[in-house]
Amino acid sequence: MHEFGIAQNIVESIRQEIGDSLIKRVNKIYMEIGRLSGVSTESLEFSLQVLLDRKDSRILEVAEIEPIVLCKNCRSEFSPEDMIWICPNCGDMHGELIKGNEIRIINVEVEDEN
Amino acid sequence: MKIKVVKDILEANDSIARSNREAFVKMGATVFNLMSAPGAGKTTLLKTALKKLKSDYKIGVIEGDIATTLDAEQIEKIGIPVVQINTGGACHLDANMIRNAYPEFKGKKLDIIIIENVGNLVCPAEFKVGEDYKIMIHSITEGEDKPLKYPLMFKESSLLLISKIDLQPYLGVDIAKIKSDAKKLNPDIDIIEVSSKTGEGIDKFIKWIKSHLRKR
Repeated sequence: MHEFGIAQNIVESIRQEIGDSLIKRVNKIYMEIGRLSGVSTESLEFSLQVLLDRKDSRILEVAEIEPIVLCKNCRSEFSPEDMIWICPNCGDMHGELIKGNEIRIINVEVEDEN
Repeated sequence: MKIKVVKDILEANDSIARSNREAFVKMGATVFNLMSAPGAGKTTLLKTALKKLKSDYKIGVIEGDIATTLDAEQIEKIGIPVVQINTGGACHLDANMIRNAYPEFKGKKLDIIIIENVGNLVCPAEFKVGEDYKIMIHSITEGEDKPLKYPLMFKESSLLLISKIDLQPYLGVDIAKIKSDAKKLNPDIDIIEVSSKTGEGIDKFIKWIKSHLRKR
């Protein structure tokens, strides 16, 4: 359950941006999460529901980011399936992940006061 | 009402890690982040290494645990300054915890700082803390499938210590597979087989540490 720690970071980051009073009214969090980030969206959702005390509705909206690896040998880019990175162009195994491990907050939606 | 809150969770950690790193460079200390699953033998191996290194270098240890000070007490007995971090539930150390911990070494002029991370094969690899090198310990009692199951830690580490190698006659683990899978994930990873029990490989490990110290 390492998502709980990440969820705590997310809530804290949002609190710093919007303040204590608005954080209680957050009902949606829009995020970009890389496919190789190792984060389970379902666990993250559950953790956020607990932390924000909103067990009634879904909070998280996730756009999944496809990973891109840059081959350090021939400089070509490719999208890997998993964590073993073999360049389809030159066969080299030294790659650098340039996209696909993001855990990024984009927007939050706050309920109107009623 | 939608509010724009662009915030990269890992980047927030990474920027603290970078400033930790700058502070370590200024101190002249080389920092190793020691990671493994619970029970792989981090503390035992660390104690063995510390005994061999402490006459030549000034060393400090930062101990990360979810609870208890058991590991820190063991290190203190060897006469090494140690700072305990209790994460209070979190399964890894992050850069901010290290930022709060290392100032306790102020004035000690350390050559080496070893951070013993929380026992866990997943999260510690995701959070940089400002280390120069990550070292992971994989005990053969964990079996041969761990590199493929927990790829990130193997990818991020500079050194893989395959530990409890003295148990191989009883286990018959496919050590060659552990090595080849680790190399597939990370072609540059160094691999040393060790046993804290028999002392096998410990000198190679010490040599590796010495050859990775920052020139002063």
